[in-house]
Amino acid sequence: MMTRGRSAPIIYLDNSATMRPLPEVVATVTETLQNDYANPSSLHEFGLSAERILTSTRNELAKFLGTESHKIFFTSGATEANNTILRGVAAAYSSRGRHIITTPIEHPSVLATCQYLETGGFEIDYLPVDDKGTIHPDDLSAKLRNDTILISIMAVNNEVGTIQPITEVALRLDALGSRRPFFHTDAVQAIGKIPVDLSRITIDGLSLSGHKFGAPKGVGIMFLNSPAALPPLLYGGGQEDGMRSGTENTSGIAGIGAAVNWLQQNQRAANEKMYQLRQYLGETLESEIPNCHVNGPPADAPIETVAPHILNVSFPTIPGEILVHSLAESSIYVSTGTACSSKAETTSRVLSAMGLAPELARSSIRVSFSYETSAHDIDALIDALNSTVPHLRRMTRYQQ
Amino acid sequence: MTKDTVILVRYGEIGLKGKNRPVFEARLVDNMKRVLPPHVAITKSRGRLFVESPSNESIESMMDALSRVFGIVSISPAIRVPLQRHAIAEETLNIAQHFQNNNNRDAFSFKIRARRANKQFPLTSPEINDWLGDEVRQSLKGASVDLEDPDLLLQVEIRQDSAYLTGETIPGPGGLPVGVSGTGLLLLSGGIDSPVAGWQMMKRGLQVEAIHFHTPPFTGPRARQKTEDLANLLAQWGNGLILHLAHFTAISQAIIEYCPRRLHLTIMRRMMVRLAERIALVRDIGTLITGESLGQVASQTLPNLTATSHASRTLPILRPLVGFDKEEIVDRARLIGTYPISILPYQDCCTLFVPDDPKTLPSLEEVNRAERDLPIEQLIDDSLPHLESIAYVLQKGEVKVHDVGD
Repeated sequence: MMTRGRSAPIIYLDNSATMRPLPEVVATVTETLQNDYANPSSLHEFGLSAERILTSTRNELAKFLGTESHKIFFTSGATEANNTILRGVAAAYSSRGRHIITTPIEHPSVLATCQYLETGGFEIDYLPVDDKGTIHPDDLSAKLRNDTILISIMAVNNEVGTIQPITEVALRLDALGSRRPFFHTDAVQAIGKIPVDLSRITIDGLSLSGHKFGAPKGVGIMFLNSPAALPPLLYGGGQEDGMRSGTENTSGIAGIGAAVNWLQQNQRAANEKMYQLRQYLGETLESEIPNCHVNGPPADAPIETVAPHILNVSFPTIPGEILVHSLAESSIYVSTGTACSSKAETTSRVLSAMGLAPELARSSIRVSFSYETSAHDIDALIDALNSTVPHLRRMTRYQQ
Repeated sequence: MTKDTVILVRYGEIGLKGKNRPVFEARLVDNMKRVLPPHVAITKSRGRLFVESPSNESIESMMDALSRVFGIVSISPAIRVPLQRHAIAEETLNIAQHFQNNNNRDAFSFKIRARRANKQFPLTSPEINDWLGDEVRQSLKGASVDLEDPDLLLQVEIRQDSAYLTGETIPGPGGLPVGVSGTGLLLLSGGIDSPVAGWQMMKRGLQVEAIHFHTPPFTGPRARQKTEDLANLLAQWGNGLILHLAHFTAISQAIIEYCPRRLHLTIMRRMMVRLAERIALVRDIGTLITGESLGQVASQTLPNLTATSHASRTLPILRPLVGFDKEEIVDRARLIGTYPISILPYQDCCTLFVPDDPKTLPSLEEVNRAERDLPIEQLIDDSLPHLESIAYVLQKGEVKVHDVGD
């Protein structure tokens, strides 16, 4: 049971949108804001003390990800990291080619950047995904061309929780030798939830966001395997080795350090618990509520094939957003996959790309867990759905 | 005495209303005070109002606020000078010079229009016109008199204490002061039309309250916020506003359950009118207002308007947009400032329940028959306890929001 501010208890199941910051993170951020407020670039002792926070967090993060500190850059979030990498690769490699391969189920900060690059003469190819939301490396091999300069594939999909075959893609690309395109992965939903080890495979660029794993909003991470190869997006004071100018978000970065620390100690147990809850929720809903479908990886998907914290489920005839509003009346907060409310986008783009029927794509909700989620929370959600779904269906069926 | 600036406010239509005139003037002054900062003095003199601020309030921001007060025909910033001929002449030349510089042209035409309220002043109005006209012509090269269509109309008011000079006039919104025509209850959706309809009736002197029907969980909190934002904006034109939020979910459900599908929309609108009328009667409100425009959508055909009209037993339904084209409504919404809020995408009341093929020409008899099984009074009685009311109080130029207790 959680509370929103000081008010009534709520059940927060929208953790893929953002997580409540970890208590350790809040303490560290507050401490840093109060005591280490100097500019890390300042020459004096006080500034050095702030700089040390950046250095130690960078080191810890590098160790956690299996890489080296000089390849880690702090940004304002994953949107900035994705933009910097995609636009940077396009600028730096355009003499080699103008072909980019991505997937239709990426986050908007990848898709919209690709569309922007398209207006500048780049050609974008989208890999198909199967009905579970997975791409297939053979499709990638088939689309690869001599002028392919960039491949961007997310590690875990944010709407359905599918794990993409990143390792296999990386190995296939290795076989290309000098023609190897830049390989980027948006790992926002993967960090802390599935193993991310950069020492075992070659990934050229990776994006992370602090607030998806317990750190504050407004701070993100960009990993670059060969930092010198790309131009920055922002020019200025030359912070972050010139890759990201702007005074560093010291307290947010300290928060990242605290979150990584927490993950190292608690990640395994938390993920196992979330996986159990995911399976329990999916199986219970499918057995108790008629005409209810788990989308993407099934309820009983083996733990190594699915992100433990996301379950996407459809209740045909009820538009997802109505179910979101209805559950909110019981202070249960879930989402409709993409945080978008315009009429044109009431159908999930990701589910449509997976080839699901429009009625399933229109009636889905995403339930996403955190380490705080309890069986009691899931039971409350099941109870609420059991009572509200038949009722809402009476109201919505007739318009079909 | 140094010269200072006041705002001269002209009001038209209310001057014509005979015995009611003092009432109307008092209301206008009261409404003006609500949009102006505290300590502003408003004085009345011979069919004009003068706004003066002892502190250094910006004339521009006060003029901007006054441009939203219905009943005002036009507004001018006026320079006040002592009743001395040289001071008046000097300021006249200043204004003309200023106009010439601002418009960056040597040749311009002008006209002096003097009004002598103070008969002690030695010159009559025509004499003042001649005198100041000569002054301008002699001093400024390129200035010529044009009595028909001057580039610059320079107005001079001679009053008891001082003379007031102005070379600039901006139009006010016209109409009647809000409140002189009684109170109306606006059926406010989140769309483009209904806020404009409310505005049109404010312009004719109605104090407007609004009622919005929300249908949780079929409509979300952002749709509600959008309505609240519209109400807040309308309050700035309407001398404040009370917004009533009526719970409509159970009524929608009952309509779906008991009534034929193709008439759902017609019956839904009739239920809204019934609920609105009930609230209006309790609050002593004299009319309902809707944003309907004849033929705009399937539910706004003549038979459908007839069906909604008949749902109100005693109160008329004013439809100020009935003869407007959509483009005209959109232009007006832009002018009022509601347009950017209205086009936010959040789904408003029950667009979900609209059948693809609503009946466009239902007869009244058909509609009555369709409602036979609907427990109309019971549904309204059950909805009323859920009514929430929010007051948007306009005071000293700011809208303050607070919940209204029952």
